Amino acid sequence: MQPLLFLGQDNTDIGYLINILYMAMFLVLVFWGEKIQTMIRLRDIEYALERLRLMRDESVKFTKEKLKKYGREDINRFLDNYLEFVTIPPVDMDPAGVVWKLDHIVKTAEDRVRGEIKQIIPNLDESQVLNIMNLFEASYALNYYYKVVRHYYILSKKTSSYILIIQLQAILPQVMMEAEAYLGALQAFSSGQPIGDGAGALVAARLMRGGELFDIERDNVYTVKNIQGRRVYFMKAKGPGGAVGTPGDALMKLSEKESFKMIFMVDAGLKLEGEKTGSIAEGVGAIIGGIGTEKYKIEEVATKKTIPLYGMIIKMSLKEAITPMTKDVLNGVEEAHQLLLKRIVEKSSEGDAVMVIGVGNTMGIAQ
Amino acid sequence: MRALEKSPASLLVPFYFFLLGLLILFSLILLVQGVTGAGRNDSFTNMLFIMTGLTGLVSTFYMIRRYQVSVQKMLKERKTVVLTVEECSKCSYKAVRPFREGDYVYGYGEECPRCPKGSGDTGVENRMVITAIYLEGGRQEERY
Ligand SMILES: [Zn+2]
Repeated sequence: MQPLLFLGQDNTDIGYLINILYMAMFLVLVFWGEKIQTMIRLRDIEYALERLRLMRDESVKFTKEKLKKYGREDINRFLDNYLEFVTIPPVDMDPAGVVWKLDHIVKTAEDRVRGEIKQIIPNLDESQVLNIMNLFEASYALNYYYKVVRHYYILSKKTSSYILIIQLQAILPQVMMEAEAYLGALQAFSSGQPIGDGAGALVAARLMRGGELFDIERDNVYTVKNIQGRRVYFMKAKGPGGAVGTPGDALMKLSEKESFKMIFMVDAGLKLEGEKTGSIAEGVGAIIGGIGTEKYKIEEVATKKTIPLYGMIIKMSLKEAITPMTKDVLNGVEEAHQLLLKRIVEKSSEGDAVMVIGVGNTMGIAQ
Repeated sequence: MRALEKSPASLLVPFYFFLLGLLILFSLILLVQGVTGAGRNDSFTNMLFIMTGLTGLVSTFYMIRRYQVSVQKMLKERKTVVLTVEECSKCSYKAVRPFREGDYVYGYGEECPRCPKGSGDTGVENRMVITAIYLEGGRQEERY
């Protein structure tokens, strides 16, 4: 029992000691409670920030490792530059025509990156360039998350603003989830595996099988098929590189020589929590994500020529959208495929021209 | 740089368990002290010792359990594998194998093992078409 004696050798002093300790704790909590809470919260944020930094470094390291096989050192420097690359959106005080400006700027940015990668590693084919761009974008996103969280962390520390800290801490779990999704996307992007976002493109690819393929505008392919007397145009981004294509431009061009009776769009969509992955939602409107330029063009064509826009969404979470396509999503693709064929016949009549656009990143999906 | 990045994580886990060990020891001492000191006719202090000891033990076991769960979760996530489904267009033979770099949907896969080798087997004549690539064992969404 010798070692145990120090805790209380038959005296009640220890009881007083504990009492005093409790009192002291109470006083500390009253006076510095908020300060302590702030410190604890800041620690949490610091921890998350550190994880974000590690994720970003991991992503950059992974990308560089993957690019090692091409034996060009310049690509590493380009990646470092790319992380700080900025695309300035056009001024929107006078919004007329702003979409075209934005479209132009985004395409310029894409051309610039594409051109530079090709210049550094000249023997890449188109799909490899696109996959590398996708990899770069994952690192870019992770870097962006890190920088923004760091900004607010430092700001809230400087101002010791309790509200700012609480807000930051409240959105952190969501930010971390998204960042983790991007980290998970690296494997798919680097080896060119189909991702969940490619669900729409996969539906189109399935329907396109056997048709004669034509290239149209930037990164799009289409084919025309006869389905029970209807001329059905199927379009998607050109695979198997990770392209999203420019369905708006392509639709504008195609609608010059063909008068469509209706447009169907299939795309992967973000589900709400609790919704089932791979479930299908049907609706009306231009179902396409992105910055909105392609959506605008499609809506323009549809409105000018009063073509009804029908859409179909295959639901999934953000993580499922940018990581390899899961079985659930694949089942959704199968279902959407059958449903689409049914709807085409239902809604149109013989002799009509119908447009079907499979929207999404077509990485790992040819046609 | 790389060594620096690794060291905190690999040092942190043993340190964590060392702390947990200390906590268990301390709790046990308190507990024993509380129980054996029963004859000391200061029941308040004894009760306090016992309570503190018990709380310490319960919380350490809870922490260990949480660590276990997180490790299990990590291992479970690692078990996913991307699969490639190939189909022969002639005999509709279907094969599933792990994904290899360069595979893509509607690209050509391996030669069909069932169909006899054609005369010009240098071409794509005999090769199966990849019809699907998907993630097997993709984490099902947790059900609430
Ligand atoms: Zn065969």
